[in-house]
Amino acid sequence: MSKIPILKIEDFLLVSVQTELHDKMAEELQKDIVEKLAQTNARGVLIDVTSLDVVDSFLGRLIGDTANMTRIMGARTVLVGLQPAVAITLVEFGVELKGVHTALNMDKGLQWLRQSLQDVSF
Amino acid sequence: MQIEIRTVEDIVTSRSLAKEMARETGFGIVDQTKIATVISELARNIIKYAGEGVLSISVIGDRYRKGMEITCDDWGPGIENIELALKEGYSTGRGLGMGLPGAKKLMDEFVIESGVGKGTRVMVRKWL
Amino acid sequence: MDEEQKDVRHQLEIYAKIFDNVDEEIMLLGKDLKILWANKKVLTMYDLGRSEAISEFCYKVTHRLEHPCKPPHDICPLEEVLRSGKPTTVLHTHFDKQGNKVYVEVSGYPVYEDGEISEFIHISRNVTERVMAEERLREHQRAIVELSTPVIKLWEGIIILPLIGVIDSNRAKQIMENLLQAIVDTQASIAIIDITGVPMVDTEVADRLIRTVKAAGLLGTRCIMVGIKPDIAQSIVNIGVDLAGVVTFSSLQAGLEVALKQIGLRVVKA
Repeated sequence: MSKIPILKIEDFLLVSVQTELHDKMAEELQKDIVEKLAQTNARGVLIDVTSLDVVDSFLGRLIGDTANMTRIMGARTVLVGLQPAVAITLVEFGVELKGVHTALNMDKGLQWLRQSLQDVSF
Repeated sequence: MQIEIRTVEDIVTSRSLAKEMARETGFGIVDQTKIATVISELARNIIKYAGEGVLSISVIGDRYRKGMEITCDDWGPGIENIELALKEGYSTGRGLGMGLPGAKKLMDEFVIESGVGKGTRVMVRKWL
Repeated sequence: MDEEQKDVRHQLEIYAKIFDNVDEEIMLLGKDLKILWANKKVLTMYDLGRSEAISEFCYKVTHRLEHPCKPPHDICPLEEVLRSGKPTTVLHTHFDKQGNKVYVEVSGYPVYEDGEISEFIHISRNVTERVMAEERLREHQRAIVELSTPVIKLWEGIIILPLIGVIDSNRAKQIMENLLQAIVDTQASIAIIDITGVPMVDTEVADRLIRTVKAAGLLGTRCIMVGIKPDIAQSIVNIGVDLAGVVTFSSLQAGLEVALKQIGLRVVKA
């Protein structure tokens, strides 16, 4: 199982999920993201899920937990490129992905992250 | 088609197969995704609570309509209180919070049989 | 020939006439699915002499398979007949010599002997025209729904979905899929759903609309609902539908102003 690469763009981490995510891979990815976040002091994480064609409750919860973890570490997570069919399924299913910000594409995702850097409020 | 579910990788393989089968059967992309998601949930339940089991996926139909039927069998500990397991948000035991109630919402028909020590069978159907 | 033999001969001639002049393929199959008898249509369809057809497997002759029909392709009705003991009809998709789709309705009937099924009767009829007509009808209905729910790009990043008329469950499903696809196609960050033209909203439709808004949210798009008339507002509250998280305005104008502001624009007199 090859690891999913995590790249750095500006002040942020970019994770592009290109293949099917097995449970263990997903958990490892979460660990990698959190570790890399600490290493690089990145202020945000962009997860590109354009290629994910199935998101079940396990993955949904994992994504939500990841967003929470990164927020605790001072970084925001944005999910980019969710497929319409997956969005519909998640909503009908009842998985809300609370606390996870989503964006239509990479540009908008980066825009939002840059904005969030300035919006620190107490 | 019968798929043995034994490892975590089987969850992903089975849902890809199911999605492809759904596509061949004539389901649109949204329904394909729903079917694949339900398979994922059921397969994961098997691994989590019974260790191993079998998924049977078949195309069903009669004169008027065509559809897919998925039956999920395991010989695990069984569910003590089915009603509770089907309640959303119930997570100890077999509810998994979203798995079973979610699967019920995504499919057209949903039947579950289980007994303590007797294993569990979940049968779902989706029509075109 | 005496009277009785003449009678029997006459009967057989009538049977032969009936079986050989219908458009349906009729076969008598053994429990092992081997052909015991086939009518003229079967022989002409598959270019066989009667002696060639007999004792061949039905699936070999009709489908050129080495095993009984199995999904995801065609379903074998006879397996179901054996299981349920009752006649079963299924729809098969075949292909003719030119590779065109041919829809065939296949019926299986049990023949009982001493209380047990001893043979099957297998009848197929070409229903291509009927199925094509049904498919055309569905296409038309889909086209009507699409025409009546156009998604319009109002501005860069803003799309509007003007809903008109009564929305039933089917249409609501189409609307949801159309809107989400339009969002992806136009990469719109705001979608205005205008229900001015919708006379009535029941719980089911309200539920669907909310789910549509939530799904759009998952894609990263904000939805604004406008055109909510007083009586619809009343019924929504009365039914108890929770429009939480859905931004609403009564007029399109108000909604539009907010949408433009969201993307950093403002309408100014020239």
